[in-house]
Amino acid sequence: MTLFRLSQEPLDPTALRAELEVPDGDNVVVFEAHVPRTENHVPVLKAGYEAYGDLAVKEANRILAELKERYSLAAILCVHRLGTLRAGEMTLWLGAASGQSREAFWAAAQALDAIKKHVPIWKKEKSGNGRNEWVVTPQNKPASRTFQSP
Amino acid sequence: MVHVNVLYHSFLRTLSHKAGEEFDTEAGNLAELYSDLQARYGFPLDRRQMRVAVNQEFSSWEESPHGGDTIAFLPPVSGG
Repeated sequence: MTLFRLSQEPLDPTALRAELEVPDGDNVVVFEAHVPRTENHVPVLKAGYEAYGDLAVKEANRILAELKERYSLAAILCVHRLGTLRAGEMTLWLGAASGQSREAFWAAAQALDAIKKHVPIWKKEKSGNGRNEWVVTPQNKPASRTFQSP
Repeated sequence: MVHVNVLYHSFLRTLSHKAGEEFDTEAGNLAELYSDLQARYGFPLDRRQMRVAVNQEFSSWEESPHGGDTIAFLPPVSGG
Protein backbone atom coordinates (compact mmCIF):
# COMPACT_ATOMS: atom_id res chain seq x y z
CA MET A 1 0.00 0.00 0.00
CA THR A 2 1.30 3.44 -0.93
CA LEU A 3 1.29 5.59 2.17
CA PHE A 4 1.36 8.98 0.46
CA ARG A 5 0.20 10.28 -2.84
CA LEU A 6 -0.44 13.55 -4.63
CA SER A 7 -3.76 14.30 -6.29
CA GLN A 8 -4.84 16.76 -8.94
CA GLU A 9 -8.46 15.82 -8.20
CA PRO A 10 -10.63 16.91 -5.24
CA LEU A 11 -10.13 14.71 -2.20
CA ASP A 12 -12.95 12.37 -1.19
CA PRO A 13 -12.75 11.85 2.58
CA THR A 14 -15.25 8.99 2.55
CA ALA A 15 -13.28 7.02 -0.01
CA LEU A 16 -9.99 7.76 1.75
CA ARG A 17 -11.41 6.70 5.11
CA ALA A 18 -12.47 3.41 3.54
CA GLU A 19 -8.85 2.72 2.64
CA LEU A 20 -8.05 2.59 6.36
CA GLU A 21 -10.44 -0.30 6.99
CA VAL A 22 -7.80 -2.84 7.92
CA PRO A 23 -7.48 -5.57 10.55
CA ASP A 24 -6.28 -4.32 13.96
CA GLY A 25 -6.99 -0.73 12.94
CA ASP A 26 -10.10 -0.01 15.02
CA ASN A 27 -8.80 3.26 16.46
CA VAL A 28 -8.65 5.82 13.69
CA VAL A 29 -7.50 9.43 13.74
CA VAL A 30 -8.40 11.51 10.71
CA PHE A 31 -7.17 15.01 9.97
CA GLU A 32 -8.27 17.27 7.14
CA ALA A 33 -6.59 20.54 6.16
CA HIS A 34 -8.40 23.12 4.06
CA VAL A 35 -7.42 26.29 2.26
CA PRO A 36 -7.91 29.01 4.88
CA ARG A 37 -10.78 31.40 4.30
CA THR A 38 -8.81 34.27 5.82
CA GLU A 39 -5.15 34.96 6.55
CA ASN A 40 -4.40 37.78 9.01
CA HIS A 41 -8.04 38.88 8.69
CA VAL A 42 -7.73 39.21 4.90
CA PRO A 43 -9.95 36.95 2.77
CA VAL A 44 -8.10 34.24 0.86
CA LEU A 45 -9.47 33.82 -2.64
CA LYS A 46 -7.53 30.75 -3.74
CA ALA A 47 -4.34 28.80 -3.19
CA GLY A 48 -2.15 26.96 -5.65
CA TYR A 49 -0.10 23.95 -4.64
CA GLU A 50 2.84 22.51 -6.52
CA ALA A 51 5.31 19.77 -5.62
CA TYR A 52 8.63 18.39 -6.70
CA GLY A 53 6.59 15.31 -7.42
CA ASP A 54 8.80 12.24 -7.29
CA LEU A 55 10.92 13.51 -4.41
CA ALA A 56 7.84 14.66 -2.49
CA VAL A 57 6.24 11.23 -2.75
CA LYS A 58 9.46 9.46 -1.89
CA GLU A 59 10.18 11.63 1.15
CA ALA A 60 6.61 11.51 2.46
CA ASN A 61 6.47 7.74 2.04
CA ARG A 62 9.71 7.45 3.98
CA ILE A 63 8.31 9.60 6.80
CA LEU A 64 5.05 7.68 7.00
CA ALA A 65 6.73 4.27 6.81
CA GLU A 66 9.00 5.26 9.68
CA LEU A 67 6.03 6.33 11.80
CA LYS A 68 4.01 3.24 10.87
CA GLU A 69 6.80 1.05 12.12
CA ARG A 70 7.57 3.16 15.20
CA TYR A 71 3.96 3.13 16.43
CA SER A 72 3.05 -0.32 15.08
CA LEU A 73 0.17 1.19 13.13
CA ALA A 74 -2.25 -0.96 11.22
CA ALA A 75 -2.33 1.68 8.49
CA ILE A 76 -1.44 5.27 7.73
CA LEU A 77 -2.36 7.23 4.63
CA CYS A 78 -1.93 10.81 3.49
CA VAL A 79 -3.02 12.47 0.26
CA HIS A 80 -2.06 16.03 -0.67
CA ARG A 81 -3.89 18.02 -3.27
CA LEU A 82 -2.10 19.88 -6.06
CA GLY A 83 -3.35 22.59 -8.40
CA THR A 84 -5.47 25.66 -7.78
CA LEU A 85 -7.98 25.39 -4.94
CA ARG A 86 -10.68 27.71 -3.69
CA ALA A 87 -10.84 28.88 -0.07
CA GLY A 88 -12.31 26.09 2.03
CA GLU A 89 -11.31 23.25 -0.31
CA MET A 90 -9.48 20.31 1.22
CA THR A 91 -5.73 20.39 0.69
CA LEU A 92 -4.64 17.38 2.72
CA TRP A 93 -6.22 14.28 4.18
CA LEU A 94 -4.36 12.20 6.74
CA GLY A 95 -5.50 9.10 8.58
CA ALA A 96 -3.82 6.76 11.03
CA ALA A 97 -5.31 3.47 12.19
CA SER A 98 -4.05 1.49 15.14
CA GLY A 99 -5.05 -0.98 17.78
CA GLN A 100 -4.08 1.70 20.30
CA SER A 101 -5.76 5.11 20.29
CA ARG A 102 -2.80 7.04 21.69
CA GLU A 103 -0.43 5.71 19.05
CA ALA A 104 -2.82 6.76 16.31
CA PHE A 105 -2.90 10.33 17.67
CA TRP A 106 0.85 10.57 18.08
CA ALA A 107 1.55 9.18 14.65
CA ALA A 108 -0.97 11.45 12.95
CA ALA A 109 0.36 14.58 14.67
CA GLN A 110 3.96 13.76 13.91
CA ALA A 111 3.18 12.81 10.33
CA LEU A 112 1.52 16.17 9.77
CA ASP A 113 4.42 18.08 11.32
CA ALA A 114 7.00 16.18 9.30
CA ILE A 115 5.14 16.51 6.02
CA LYS A 116 4.67 20.25 6.52
CA LYS A 117 8.33 20.64 7.35
CA HIS A 118 10.16 18.32 4.98
CA VAL A 119 8.12 17.38 1.93
CA PRO A 120 8.79 19.62 -1.10
CA ILE A 121 5.34 21.08 -1.65
CA TRP A 122 4.75 24.81 -2.03
CA LYS A 123 1.72 27.04 -1.73
CA LYS A 124 0.92 30.26 -3.53
CA GLU A 125 -1.93 32.24 -2.02
CA LYS A 126 -4.09 34.86 -3.68
CA SER A 127 -5.77 37.21 -1.21
CA GLY A 128 -8.62 39.68 -1.41
CA ASN A 129 -6.18 42.56 -0.99
CA GLY A 130 -4.58 41.78 -4.35
CA ARG A 131 -1.59 39.85 -3.04
CA ASN A 132 -0.61 36.73 -4.94
CA GLU A 133 2.48 35.35 -3.26
CA TRP A 134 4.38 32.20 -2.52
CA VAL A 135 4.09 31.30 1.14
CA VAL A 136 7.44 30.99 2.86
CA THR A 137 7.18 29.46 6.30
CA PRO A 138 10.09 30.83 8.32
CA GLN A 139 10.39 27.94 10.73
CA ASN A 140 11.11 25.52 7.93
CA LYS A 141 14.73 24.60 8.08
CA PRO A 142 16.66 21.65 6.74
CA ALA A 143 16.55 20.02 10.14
CA SER A 144 17.20 16.37 10.68
CA ARG A 145 14.11 14.22 10.77
CA THR A 146 13.58 13.09 14.33
CA PHE A 147 10.24 12.16 15.77
CA GLN A 148 9.68 12.58 19.48
CA SER A 149 6.67 11.28 21.31
CA PRO A 150 4.77 14.08 23.05
CA MET B 1 33.26 22.34 -16.42
CA VAL B 2 30.17 20.15 -16.31
CA HIS B 3 26.78 20.32 -17.98
CA VAL B 4 23.85 20.31 -15.53
CA ASN B 5 20.08 20.61 -15.59
CA VAL B 6 18.71 22.93 -12.89
CA LEU B 7 15.06 22.99 -11.79
CA TYR B 8 13.35 25.98 -10.19
CA HIS B 9 10.35 25.68 -7.90
CA SER B 10 8.09 28.13 -6.09
CA PHE B 11 9.39 31.69 -6.06
CA LEU B 12 12.66 30.63 -7.71
CA ARG B 13 10.63 29.91 -10.82
CA THR B 14 8.84 33.24 -10.51
CA LEU B 15 12.11 35.16 -10.21
CA SER B 16 13.97 33.28 -12.93
CA HIS B 17 10.92 33.18 -15.23
CA LYS B 18 11.65 29.55 -16.04
CA ALA B 19 10.96 26.10 -14.64
CA GLY B 20 14.48 24.99 -15.36
CA GLU B 21 17.46 25.32 -17.62
CA GLU B 22 20.56 23.49 -18.78
CA PHE B 23 23.99 25.07 -18.74
CA ASP B 24 27.68 24.47 -18.18
CA THR B 25 29.09 25.35 -14.78
CA GLU B 26 32.50 25.61 -13.20
CA ALA B 27 31.06 25.74 -9.69
CA GLY B 28 33.03 23.55 -7.35
CA ASN B 29 30.04 22.58 -5.28
CA LEU B 30 26.29 23.13 -5.05
CA ALA B 31 26.70 26.08 -2.71
CA GLU B 32 28.79 27.89 -5.31
CA LEU B 33 26.29 27.01 -8.00
CA TYR B 34 23.44 28.46 -5.92
CA SER B 35 25.48 31.62 -5.28
CA ASP B 36 26.01 32.01 -9.02
CA LEU B 37 22.27 31.73 -9.60
CA GLN B 38 21.50 34.13 -6.76
CA ALA B 39 23.67 36.71 -8.49
CA ARG B 40 22.03 36.01 -11.84
CA TYR B 41 18.38 36.01 -10.75
CA GLY B 42 18.32 37.80 -7.40
CA PHE B 43 17.15 34.83 -5.36
CA PRO B 44 16.58 36.36 -1.93
CA LEU B 45 17.07 33.44 0.43
CA ASP B 46 20.37 32.36 1.85
CA ARG B 47 21.13 28.74 1.04
CA ARG B 48 20.95 27.89 4.76
CA GLN B 49 17.20 28.43 4.47
CA MET B 50 17.01 26.11 1.48
CA ARG B 51 17.60 22.49 0.62
CA VAL B 52 19.10 21.02 -2.49
CA ALA B 53 18.39 17.78 -4.31
CA VAL B 54 20.40 16.00 -6.96
CA ASN B 55 18.77 13.43 -9.19
CA GLN B 56 15.67 13.23 -6.97
CA GLU B 57 17.62 12.73 -3.73
CA PHE B 58 18.34 15.29 -1.04
CA SER B 59 21.98 16.29 -1.17
CA SER B 60 24.44 18.48 0.71
CA TRP B 61 25.69 21.89 -0.37
CA GLU B 62 29.27 20.63 -0.31
CA GLU B 63 28.65 18.06 -3.03
CA SER B 64 30.18 18.74 -6.43
CA PRO B 65 27.94 18.86 -9.47
CA HIS B 66 28.51 16.10 -12.00
CA GLY B 67 27.81 16.09 -15.69
CA GLY B 68 24.20 15.22 -16.43
CA ASP B 69 22.99 15.91 -12.89
CA THR B 70 19.50 17.28 -12.39
CA ILE B 71 19.76 19.75 -9.54
CA ALA B 72 16.77 21.24 -7.73
CA PHE B 73 17.05 24.11 -5.28
CA LEU B 74 14.21 23.77 -2.82
CA PRO B 75 12.78 26.81 -1.01
CA PRO B 76 11.20 26.37 2.42
CA VAL B 77 8.18 24.18 1.96
CA SER B 78 4.61 25.26 2.67
CA GLY B 79 2.39 22.27 2.03
CA GLY B 80 -0.21 20.89 4.38
